Amino acid sequence: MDSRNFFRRKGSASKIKIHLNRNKSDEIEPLSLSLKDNLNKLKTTFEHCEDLVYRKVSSKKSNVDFLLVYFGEMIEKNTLNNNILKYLIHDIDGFSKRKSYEYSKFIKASLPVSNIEEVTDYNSIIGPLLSGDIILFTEDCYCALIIPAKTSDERSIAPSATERTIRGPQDAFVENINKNIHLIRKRIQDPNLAVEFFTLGHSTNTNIALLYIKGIAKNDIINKIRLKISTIDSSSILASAQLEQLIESHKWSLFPQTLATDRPDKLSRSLLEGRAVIIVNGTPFALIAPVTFAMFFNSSDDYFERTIVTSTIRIVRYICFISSIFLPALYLAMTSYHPGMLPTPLALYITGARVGLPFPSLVELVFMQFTTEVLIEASVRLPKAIGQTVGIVGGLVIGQSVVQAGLVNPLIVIVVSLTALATFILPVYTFALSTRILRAIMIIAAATFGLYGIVIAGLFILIHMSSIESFGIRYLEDFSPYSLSKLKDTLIKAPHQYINRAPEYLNEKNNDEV
Amino acid sequence: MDNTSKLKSISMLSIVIHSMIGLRLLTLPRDLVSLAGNDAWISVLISGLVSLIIGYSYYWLGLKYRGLNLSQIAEAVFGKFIGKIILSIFVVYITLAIGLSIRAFSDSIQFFLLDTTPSFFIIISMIIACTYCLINGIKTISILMDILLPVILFSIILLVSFSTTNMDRANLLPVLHTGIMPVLGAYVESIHPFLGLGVMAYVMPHFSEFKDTKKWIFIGILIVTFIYIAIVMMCIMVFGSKETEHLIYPTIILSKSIQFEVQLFERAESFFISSWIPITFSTMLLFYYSSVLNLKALFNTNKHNFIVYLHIPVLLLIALYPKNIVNVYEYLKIPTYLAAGFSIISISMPVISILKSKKKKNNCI
Repeated sequence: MDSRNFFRRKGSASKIKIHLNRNKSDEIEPLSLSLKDNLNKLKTTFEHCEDLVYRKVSSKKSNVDFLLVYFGEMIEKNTLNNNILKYLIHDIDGFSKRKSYEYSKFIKASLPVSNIEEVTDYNSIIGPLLSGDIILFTEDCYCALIIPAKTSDERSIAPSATERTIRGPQDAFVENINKNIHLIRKRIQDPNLAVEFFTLGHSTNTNIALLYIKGIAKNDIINKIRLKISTIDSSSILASAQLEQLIESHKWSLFPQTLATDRPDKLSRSLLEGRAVIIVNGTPFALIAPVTFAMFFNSSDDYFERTIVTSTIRIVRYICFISSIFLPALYLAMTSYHPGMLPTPLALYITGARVGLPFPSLVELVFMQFTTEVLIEASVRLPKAIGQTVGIVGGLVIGQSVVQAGLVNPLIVIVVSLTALATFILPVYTFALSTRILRAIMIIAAATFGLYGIVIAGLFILIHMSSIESFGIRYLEDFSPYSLSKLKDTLIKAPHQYINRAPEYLNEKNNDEV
Repeated sequence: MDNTSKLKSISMLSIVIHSMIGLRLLTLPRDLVSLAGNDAWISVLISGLVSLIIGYSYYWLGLKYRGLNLSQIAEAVFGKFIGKIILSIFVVYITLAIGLSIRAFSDSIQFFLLDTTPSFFIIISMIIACTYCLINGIKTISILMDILLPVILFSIILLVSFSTTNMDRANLLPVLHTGIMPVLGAYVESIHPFLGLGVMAYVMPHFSEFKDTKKWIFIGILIVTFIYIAIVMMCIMVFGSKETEHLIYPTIILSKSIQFEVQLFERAESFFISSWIPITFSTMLLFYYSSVLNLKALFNTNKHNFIVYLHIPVLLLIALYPKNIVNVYEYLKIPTYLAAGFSIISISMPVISILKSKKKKNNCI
């Protein structure tokens, strides 16, 4: 990559697209001087695009011909009518004083639209045209103008639907990448906030922005992320979830190695901690990298409530995480392998309750677990109005009647529903999903080898968690080399004046060794 | 595996504690009490003090031979030929110790948790867990140790503090009734678990801040000494020395004797034996790690993963060879004797090293 390309990368999003498209078909095709030739060439390239508009106009005052090419539904009609067409047809004058090759420069200087670009290469107009810019050809001029006039047909900024807060800010990311960057810039007004653009996907040409704060984020980490993104070779990237899978290093792990969120306040906090944020055009969910295990227990509300309350809730979350994985397995192990551990009255009660039941505990547990999984999936996908019905059907009808029908021990209903509730407490949905699989693994381990199986399976999961890393940061970095300063925002949350410094392992200044 | 990955000095704390607290804690009170009666805790105290010296000598060696682990240091101190012989003693000692402890572990699991499960499964699952961790490198091991440490300390503190309800302090009296000799005799027995400290000399090359590391080594040894003394004292205070002699697993029986005010668990020992699984696992893992480094030095090879996999059949053979629990404890005497040799060698290493460097200085002059 030469120095020119390097500078282009720092420029606006559309510029990168041009340069990438040029790379795709390497030879440069100069534009023709005649409008007709250019028109024919475009018509062969966009043979199947019936929504492409070719509009010929000519200036009244100077009698010069223009050709405007655009996708009719992708442009702002107002800009086209008032700022371009009106100007070209009625107002513009002075062509007679100039040579024909100066025409485009002249138009560029006098058109009342910002960010017009001048190109001479046929291939470099295709990208902007597809992304919704207007291309203007002038008779006898070898230059074409790229006039940005994209419509902003997007949903406006609304509260986040997936991560609600009570006291936090109520704005959330939308699909448009520029709007999202704006939301971050509004919060971090610092010239050191770096924004780097990439374009990925041969057919989707998706814009991707990498954000970090220079001086806080560690260079090693940023370089690793940049390398990962720029070496992606994929034909389509439609959402941040695809990018997530392409950049993470442990693809078969159950644990997410980036954190997806649409809350700009959460993202800004991560940026200030020295993490990087990756925004993908077309998805409201941006990715935070690198992440550590403890981050999945932080909710946005933690930073808006009082210290002691928050710390207690945090600890409750950790307990819930552990019990959502181990509770059903422990029940199974205790009742089928080690009944001696239970207090005698409880053991007697369980035996009594199980007398009339036809199936072994394992079958009951798997059946109830399966039922809850179905209920959860059903209520997530259904529209809100029907969702409540699912709750009633699931909670009351199935829960009650399964016991009455003599299929399941009532204790199992308690265990399974407690587990499901514990899962819902986890603030990050992706992370809560992986506990379901972990729970299944634990149930299998408990069913085959009792308590020993649970402990060994737990050890295996712990070893796996210690071994994975996210862009050079260990997943359990928050707990591993012990340090009091790491406790401030992990297991508990210290008052704000103690935690406004970035974690040591992310900080550029403490660059010695992690 | 990369040797460049550096660990923070505080990681040494968990490695030191884990290397010294292992399966041996389950049976140690019996062995000590049968030798020294109710003064057994004094021998543990002596062992703790001695292991401070051993710890310092390892630290000193690590400082002198920066970037070398114990097996490489042994070669550097004793020369190529004798070094290899000593290394093979290390290798035999450590592999026997791991293999037999896995067997003893699986026996105790069968005894308390799963009486019909074949011990083969318990042994192989333990070995595979260790292997899985080892191929991920020292950083993973260190993180795992750090995460497991609070769990282990918590369960031991729980055990000790619950036992205080039915202890009888009079059982400790009279102090030094039989004289000092039985205490010293028990000391030889009690130094054995403290020798796990040797693992420290294998991980030393991964530490860079030496001064802080020394501090954490000493704190670690003190904590371990405290835990051993507390467990041994508790066994004596709860059961009396006569009864402790006849218990196979006094520490587990100690948890069995716990009676909760509120009935939370009917039998607490299942809970404690399951918390013993990570304790045994971590010790085994560290021994396994040093065994891998030993073999790597012995065969002058760098194939880390190959050596790790090579251990699986060897350990399986050792673990499955003894016929019953009596056999296991008979065979366990071999590594105990080797351990005595190990300790003599490791204490003599700094001395020889000093003599050598003096000789060199004289030659220079």
